[in-house]
Amino acid sequence: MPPTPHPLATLSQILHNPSCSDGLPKEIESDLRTAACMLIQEAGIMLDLPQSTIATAQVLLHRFYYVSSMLSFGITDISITSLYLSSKLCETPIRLRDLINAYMFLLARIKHLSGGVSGKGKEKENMKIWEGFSFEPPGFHDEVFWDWKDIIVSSEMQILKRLGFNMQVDLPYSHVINYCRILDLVFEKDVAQSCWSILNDALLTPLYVYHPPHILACASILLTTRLLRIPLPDNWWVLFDANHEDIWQCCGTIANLWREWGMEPHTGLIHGERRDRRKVEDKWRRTWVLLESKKAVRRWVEENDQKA
Amino acid sequence: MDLAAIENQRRADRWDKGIKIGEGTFANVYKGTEKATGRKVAIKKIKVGEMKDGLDMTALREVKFLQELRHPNIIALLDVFSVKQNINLVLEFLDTDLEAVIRDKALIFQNADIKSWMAMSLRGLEYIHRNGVLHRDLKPNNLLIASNGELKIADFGLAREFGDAGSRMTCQVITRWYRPPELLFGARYYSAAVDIWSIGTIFVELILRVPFLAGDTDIDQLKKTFHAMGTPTEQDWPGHTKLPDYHETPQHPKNPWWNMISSIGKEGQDLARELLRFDPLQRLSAVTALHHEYFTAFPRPTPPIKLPKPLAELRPRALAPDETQGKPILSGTENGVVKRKAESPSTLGLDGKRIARRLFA
Repeated sequence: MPPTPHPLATLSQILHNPSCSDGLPKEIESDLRTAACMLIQEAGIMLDLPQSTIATAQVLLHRFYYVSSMLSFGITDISITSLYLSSKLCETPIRLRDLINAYMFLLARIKHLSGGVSGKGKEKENMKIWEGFSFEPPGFHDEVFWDWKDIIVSSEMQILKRLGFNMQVDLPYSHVINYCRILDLVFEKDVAQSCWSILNDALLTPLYVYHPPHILACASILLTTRLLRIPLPDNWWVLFDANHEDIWQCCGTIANLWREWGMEPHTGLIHGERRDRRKVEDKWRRTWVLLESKKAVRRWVEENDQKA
Repeated sequence: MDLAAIENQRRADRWDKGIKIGEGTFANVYKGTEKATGRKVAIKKIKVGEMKDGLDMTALREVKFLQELRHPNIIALLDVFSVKQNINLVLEFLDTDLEAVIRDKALIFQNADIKSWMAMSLRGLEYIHRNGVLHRDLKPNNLLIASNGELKIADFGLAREFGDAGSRMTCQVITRWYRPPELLFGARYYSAAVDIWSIGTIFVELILRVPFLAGDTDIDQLKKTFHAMGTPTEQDWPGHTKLPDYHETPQHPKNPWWNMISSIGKEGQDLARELLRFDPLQRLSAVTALHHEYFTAFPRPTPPIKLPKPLAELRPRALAPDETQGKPILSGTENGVVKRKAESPSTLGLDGKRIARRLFA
């Protein structure tokens, strides 16, 4: 058992993604990763967990779905369990009950939103979206807690088992601060914040299991300085053992994420076709349906096969 | 069967599980062998049925840190695998622990032996600290002894990273007798110096053959510490009166306590004093301790293989109250009785279970 400080997915794991081998299209697979990580992020913020705990959970989830299929393990189950496991690993313990409540709130909200929203005009829409939404946490002794607890306990074991008990996660946040210092960027307005946010966004993609942390740190600096139009010396990334191809590819993945989900920063620098609102909405809706359980994913794959 | 399951099965097949040699609150320990080589191992099976909220933190910490830490003076985690819903840790099999050695009145320690044990402990600890980890439960029965005499630090159930200086940590760690005064005063921000204090008390215990500061309660622990070493002044330990649980203690005069360990020699006395400074900032670090002249002065440390070892079979003993849970009990819940061992060699039968049980409880 050699020491594995920060395991990355192997090329064959990336090429033969278990969910895709089970018939899930690549695009949907990555949408579901994103949605599952969004759940972790939101629940983590609600529970006041530090970003390192949230990030660890998201990385564990990405790793998990390179050794397991979304048709065998429900995405919401793994998402809630990763967060629980990482809260233990990062010594930021949370109460299981609080975690379950947070997830039930998020799931109730998804249910409400996927019920369909109609409306015209931005302001009207904003008012209407939440109309009729309410969430009542279940009673203290409600069965639902026990059901969730069983799911979490058994999924936890699955995650540990399937990751071979390798739980070390090395995050790029501290690298970014050091690199910014070396590049004399710490006093540039918004740079550190933007790098930080980009690294957070990158967690919604599988980048953290493709590249070691120093590459991700460089990518966040590259993208930030491009967006803010800050010049840097040529080939600065050589200083940090990064190569242009890797970091540029990371930037592309992140820009793509923004475009696809309609969340690009308002810098006007990311060009490309004006996103089709309808398309984005459909994407959200489809993802929400599949997020629910492995059964939903299986059903979708079956229907998709029949169509084809 | 998919890849992950095959891999797990492959791991499980490497080991033969033998008889049960110990039983703890959250784990059972079995003797085992590696099929290919016949090497003896200890297999620690973590009970899942008993787990309240998923896998216990102590088990998680143990796996997490032992996977990363590899050093001749640290117990080796050879493998981890699962069978059904159980987690199995495969660990090096070690014969005995330092506590059993200290308690065995038939053994006589030379100063060179003590130096050898200290050097091995500090080497292991230096490696742990260098890698940004605090052990937080050093005591003689977590220092295991292999059949070739090598000392290995075990039990990482309370360990944690301390990379982030600003992170608040619990002060309810380290078995009381080895707990430094800053933790007894409730410090929430502390450093590697807590482990150094433990090593210091172990050093004195090796010389005296009885626990140096054996308090009955947390308050009593402070009292005993100050009684033995004198109550610290603001000058000895700047800022200690500002610690969260600081309370006035009876004033004890400065006491040349190192005179009671004069048998270890001048350098040894000096090392003990440097390890047991009240002010955590003034305590030696593991690496500076290793460079202390004690280790270069005469006599040279005994080679591990020649160190004294208990001849008799290991004797069973009851678990200490703060060991039964796998973590120390909180100060509010204890009743002031410390019963670390309740053995009497003649009444209890022989078995090798005791160490393993203790170790892995």
